[in-house]
Amino acid sequence: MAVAAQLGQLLAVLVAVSVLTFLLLNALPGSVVDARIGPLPNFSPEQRAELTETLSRQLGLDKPLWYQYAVWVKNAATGDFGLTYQGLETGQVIADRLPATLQLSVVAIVLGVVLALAASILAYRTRWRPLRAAIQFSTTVLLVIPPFWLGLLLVIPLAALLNWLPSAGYVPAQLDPARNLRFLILPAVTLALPQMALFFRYLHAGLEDATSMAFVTAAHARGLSERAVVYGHVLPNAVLPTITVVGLVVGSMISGLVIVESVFSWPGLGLLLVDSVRVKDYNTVAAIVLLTAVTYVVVAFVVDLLYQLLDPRTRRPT
Amino acid sequence: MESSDTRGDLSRRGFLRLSAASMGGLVLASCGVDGDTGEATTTTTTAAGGSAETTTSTTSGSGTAKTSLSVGMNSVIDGLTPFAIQGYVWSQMMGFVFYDPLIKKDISGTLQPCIATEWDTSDPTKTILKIREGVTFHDGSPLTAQDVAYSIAARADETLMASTAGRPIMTPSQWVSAVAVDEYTVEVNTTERVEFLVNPQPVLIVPNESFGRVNFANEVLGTGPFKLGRFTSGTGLEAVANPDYWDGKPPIETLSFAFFADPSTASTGLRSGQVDALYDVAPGNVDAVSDVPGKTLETAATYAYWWIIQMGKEPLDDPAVRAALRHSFDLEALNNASFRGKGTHSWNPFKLYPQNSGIDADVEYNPARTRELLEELGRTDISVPILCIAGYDDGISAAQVLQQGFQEAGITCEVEVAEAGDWLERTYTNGTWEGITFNAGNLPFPSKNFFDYLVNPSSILSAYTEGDVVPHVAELYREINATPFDAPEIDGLLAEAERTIVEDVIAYFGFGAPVSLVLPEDLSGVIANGFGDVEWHRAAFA
Amino acid sequence: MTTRLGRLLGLLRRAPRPLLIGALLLMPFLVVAVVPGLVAPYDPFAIEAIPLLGPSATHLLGTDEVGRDLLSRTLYAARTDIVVSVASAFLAFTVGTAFGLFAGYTGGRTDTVMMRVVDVLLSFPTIVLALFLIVILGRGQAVQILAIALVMTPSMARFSRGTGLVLRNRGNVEASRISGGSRLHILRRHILPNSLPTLFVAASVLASAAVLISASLSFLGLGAQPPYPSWGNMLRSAYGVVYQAPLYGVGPGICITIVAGGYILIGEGLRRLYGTDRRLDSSVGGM
Repeated sequence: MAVAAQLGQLLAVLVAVSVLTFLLLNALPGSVVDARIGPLPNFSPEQRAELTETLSRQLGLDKPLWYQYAVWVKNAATGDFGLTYQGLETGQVIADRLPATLQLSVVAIVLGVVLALAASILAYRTRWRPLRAAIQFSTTVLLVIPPFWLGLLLVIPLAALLNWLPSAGYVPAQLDPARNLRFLILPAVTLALPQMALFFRYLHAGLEDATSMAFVTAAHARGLSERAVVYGHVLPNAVLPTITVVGLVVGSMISGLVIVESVFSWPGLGLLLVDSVRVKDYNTVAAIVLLTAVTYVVVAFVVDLLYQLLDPRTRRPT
Repeated sequence: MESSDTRGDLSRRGFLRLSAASMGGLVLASCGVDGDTGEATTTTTTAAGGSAETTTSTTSGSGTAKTSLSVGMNSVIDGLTPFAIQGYVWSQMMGFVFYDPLIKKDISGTLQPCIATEWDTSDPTKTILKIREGVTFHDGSPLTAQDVAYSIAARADETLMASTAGRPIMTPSQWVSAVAVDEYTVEVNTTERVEFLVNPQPVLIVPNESFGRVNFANEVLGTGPFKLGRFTSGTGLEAVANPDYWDGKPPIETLSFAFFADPSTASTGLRSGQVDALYDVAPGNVDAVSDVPGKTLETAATYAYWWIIQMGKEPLDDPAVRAALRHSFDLEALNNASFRGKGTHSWNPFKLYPQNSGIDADVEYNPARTRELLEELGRTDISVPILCIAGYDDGISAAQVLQQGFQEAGITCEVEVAEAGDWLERTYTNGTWEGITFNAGNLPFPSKNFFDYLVNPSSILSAYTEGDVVPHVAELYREINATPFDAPEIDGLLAEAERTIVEDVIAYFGFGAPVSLVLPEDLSGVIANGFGDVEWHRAAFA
Repeated sequence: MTTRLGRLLGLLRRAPRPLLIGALLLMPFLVVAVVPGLVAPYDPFAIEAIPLLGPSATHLLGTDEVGRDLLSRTLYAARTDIVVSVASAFLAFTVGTAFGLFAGYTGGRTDTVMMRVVDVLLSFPTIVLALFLIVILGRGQAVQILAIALVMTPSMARFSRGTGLVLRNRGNVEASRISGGSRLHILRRHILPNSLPTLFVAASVLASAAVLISASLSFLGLGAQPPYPSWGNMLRSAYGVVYQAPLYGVGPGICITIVAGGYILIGEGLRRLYGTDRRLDSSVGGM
């Protein structure tokens, strides 16, 4: 029952998100038709007006706004977001860019989680204070380093000075997996490090909190080894709150992708969004905005469910 | 208004800095064609033909030699529509990989037969084309006059073009009909003389009634030397040799293009081995690619930029003000900022070409002099904004240098960077901009093509849709346009154009610098000769 | 005089360390933002040398792609970046706080509806929404400020609503309500002053996020336009010339980090000063 209510809410938010995207799309200066027609130096104003009218009718722009919205949503649901200013199917273009984005995101998030786990366990278990301080400090700094500056910090030594890695570019994995990986390293690390810093904060706080909990003391009292206590009792409890954060990061991944893909010319959705903003390719912008917002909402919903499933305390009495 | 048809295109040819000629060269050389199809006897054509033979012998001699070539491009292609407005790069250049035009221009600007083997333009309103026999489309269907007539008619259909992001070749008032008279003859009727055969954009041949049937945005159905292998919008494409090409199968089996957002990424692509070759390397990026092992650098064309003057509005409608402003051009700083000091400057756009008459303005950088001159004219309180194109970093850098000079001369100056589409609309379609605006391009070989590129009232000389802003220039343009390129009086007209540009200050021209091509060493000379007359470029920049 | 100085020193000694460090880090930038001409060795727009020189005694950070002094441009950029971050944080703070406190204090259906609106806005990732707004509104500094403020407002609203909710049931608020105080009066006299400490902490986090978002937009070419320098657009240029002038972007990069970090430290200091809780960082801003 509770899940049904939550699903209802999810649906309401999704509808609101799509309405807002559609309204913003309609608030854009210059009509979609104008963008489509482009400059026609040979046309008299009357000819142009006539052409605009014909195309408007073809695209259904003469219909009332709510009707246009309904058509837009109906088409969007089937992956049809209209044509790009180039005349390609927007849905197809997005599908073309998706593999690059997915590869980068997945690698980055896995890298971020693994690094954060390693760093937090290291910080938790080490008795050497300077190391703890160094980990704390560097993760804090990573939170205020914008990705393009972090990227440059990696590119200067590894690409510009030593020439070990390419500073930008992309080769599809199915064409040449080895070269694909070489190109992947810098963007993936750049995307992963700030995420790692964020996860670390939560893991670290979780570890500290868990230590003082009764069951940990009990485990120690039962004579379990330090290692067994950490991996068997402390860590699982610390990981739980971190799941929410990982979920939020996955949901808003696009913000990082926009920058990192631009920095490294990685032809994914982020780069496509920036390019489309530049050339005012309205349909593509709206499609990506809607897609990312929906992803966020759905991921947040799933994470919420997952959290309830994993944490007995938040389970509602039946 | 007969010149209006070329306006948008010339501008695009300008700002997208890619020349059809150069790419045509690559295709020519890689296909090993044209040496025997053209009747041209100019030395450059012979050179292309000779180099093509070298390619053939290299490839056939070693059996399994170079069968693939990947080329890095400085721009991103989002769609394959062979006549797209914004996909200009595609239609002017890469289009030739997959599609054939009616006729081609060779390296010297001479027309060469392609799909049309003969063309009769003696009647200004009727063009008769003889179509090559034995040509097939990539799907195996034979090419007939009907396909050609349809291709021309489709390109003249404004509504069809607008709805497919395409660009019409003539106005509705110029168009009458294109008729297939017999299986291999097409008759094109217009109301007046329209140069649609090669200029402004070539008519690429598609099958009859193919619109709606073929999605040209991501499919290819042409008669060209390569078939489409794979296309990923924004990333790259792969072209596969067409074994049934009417002029013989190209020696390179797969020709792939990788699209890079900007020149520095492209250099990275070459360094990292993502691509074998780089097209269109600007002087500022030469250093970044010159030391890549196994590659050679060839000079391919001249990249130049210049400033179009808004002569229809205050204060630049006054030739004296225009002349005064010249003193605020810090030529050395401009050269450093946009070309790392590797360019040459001239107020005469023909200066880079051997045929020029040597006329030039002798102006030193001295903003105080501009101020003085403006005071003498009583125009101390003027504003000259500068409009740039986003992505053209050399132009944006140069604009900031100019801004400094103008401000020192007491001129108010704002720099604005517009996206290409906005820039085009404001500069050429509406003429709503003020001050001066950036334009640039790869200048092709000395030919009539190059010439009208500069003299056309809508490209370098002025930029208005309405009226002839500078009547004597428009008059001159029309006269040149009506004169055949090989007519004896053309030299006199060229000289007059030079004098007009320099003395009447019709444009602030500009810097030019060699554009290079990076190639694998084993292709050195082979392809590069197809890219232009390297020798006179060397002479110009020695 | 001495007593006043002494009291000031005492105050400083008792102030939380992060607050002091943050203030120390930010102070030079505030000075530079107000009077960049005092510190910058050259005119940031003047062409002083040939382009892309490396660091040297005459040009400590080298020259840019036009031949201007990079140090001077970095310093002048502080003005752009500080103005944008402070202005947009202020806007987001004011609007978000008003919205949030009102919703939290009013409660009931109004609160639910207002918070659903916030939820919807929050489902658009920050940069994406900012990009969308820039497409609609065009480019320029004012638009940049507005766009950044708009994308940060929802999280500020959500946060301040929580504060309003808590204060709502405090004794003095209830007393005022019982004695017939109007809603506006209560919000202004009781809720706002009591929530300010917490909200200031949020404001500093907002300012830090604003620095990063503004630099990101400039980096994407949608912020300050040439010839005006900003740290973001300088870093963008740096990528273009990374093989010719590897150190081009180091100055602006360090500045962004210091300023964004400085704001965070101030927030952390304020939190310790007021003893507020830790929930905040992840809920406000967040790139």
